[in-house]
Amino acid sequence: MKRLLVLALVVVFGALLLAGAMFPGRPGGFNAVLTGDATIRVHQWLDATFTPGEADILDYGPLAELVLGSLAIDSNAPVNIAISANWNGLAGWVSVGGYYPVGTFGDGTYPVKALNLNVNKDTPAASYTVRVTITITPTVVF
Amino acid sequence: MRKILLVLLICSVGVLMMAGAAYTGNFNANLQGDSQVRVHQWLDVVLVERTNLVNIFNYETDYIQSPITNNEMAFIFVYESNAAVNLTVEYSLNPATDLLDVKWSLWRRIGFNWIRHYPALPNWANSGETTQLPHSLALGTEHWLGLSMKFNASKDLPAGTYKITYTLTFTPTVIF
Repeated sequence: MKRLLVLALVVVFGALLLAGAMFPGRPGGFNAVLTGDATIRVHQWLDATFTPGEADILDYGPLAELVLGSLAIDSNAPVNIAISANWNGLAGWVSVGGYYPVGTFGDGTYPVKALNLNVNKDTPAASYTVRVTITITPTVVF
Repeated sequence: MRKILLVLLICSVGVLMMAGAAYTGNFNANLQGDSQVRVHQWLDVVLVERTNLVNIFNYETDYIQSPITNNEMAFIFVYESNAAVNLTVEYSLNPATDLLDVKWSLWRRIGFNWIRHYPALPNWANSGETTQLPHSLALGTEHWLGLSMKFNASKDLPAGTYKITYTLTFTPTVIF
């Protein structure tokens, strides 16, 4: 008797649980539509390569730009780029007004430049190693 | 089984190849590299003074343009460079003759004093010889140089007018 009671209870609860998904309709079938929203976040990815290069300073005085290398960007959204450089032995002999590219950039290969240099007349002739650091951050963040 | 192994290997190699350059979501990519900047040697030379006339009155006698004998130089020039500079002095006579001996020496002016730079006293240099000028910074604020000439005629040198053509060639010591 107890077993029958338990069985009966299970059947009743089962029917209640399924109520939302059951569509008793006209005999012969039903036309059921369920709608819902799902969010898919496609994050920004990036393939980037910095290729340092060689540059020549041929004379003292103002120098509009000096190409220090090239940067290749391949991403599924624009990226923010910031650049800094350690001029090592050249520091103190060269003043620099800015770098390029700085800002937001899409896919492509860009020259990495130091802009508006002023080369001191007393800069000893030599080869200098300039360390370039490029920080790239996404524009699409969740 | 071999095919599965091959696919796994290709996947592994592919991941390794992209490891240095690929960034997934929420990246903060830092790229760093060393660029080589070559500062070439530059040179400023300004001719300050030049004497155009030398009189030779007697044979086997030294006629010298120098700051010590007559405070005169064949050339006085100012130079600045960011490294040592090689200077080659050459000259030729017209009409050409072996009967007029011509020598040169180079002087540096420090403050108000002229000091023999090349060759060491009492020597004189011949056409085609090269000396090295120091980095202009090493000379302080005054970078004046004077080219001194010495003429000595043989007894058989025909009287007349001779033209001497000078060539001062500056070459860098720092070359890439």
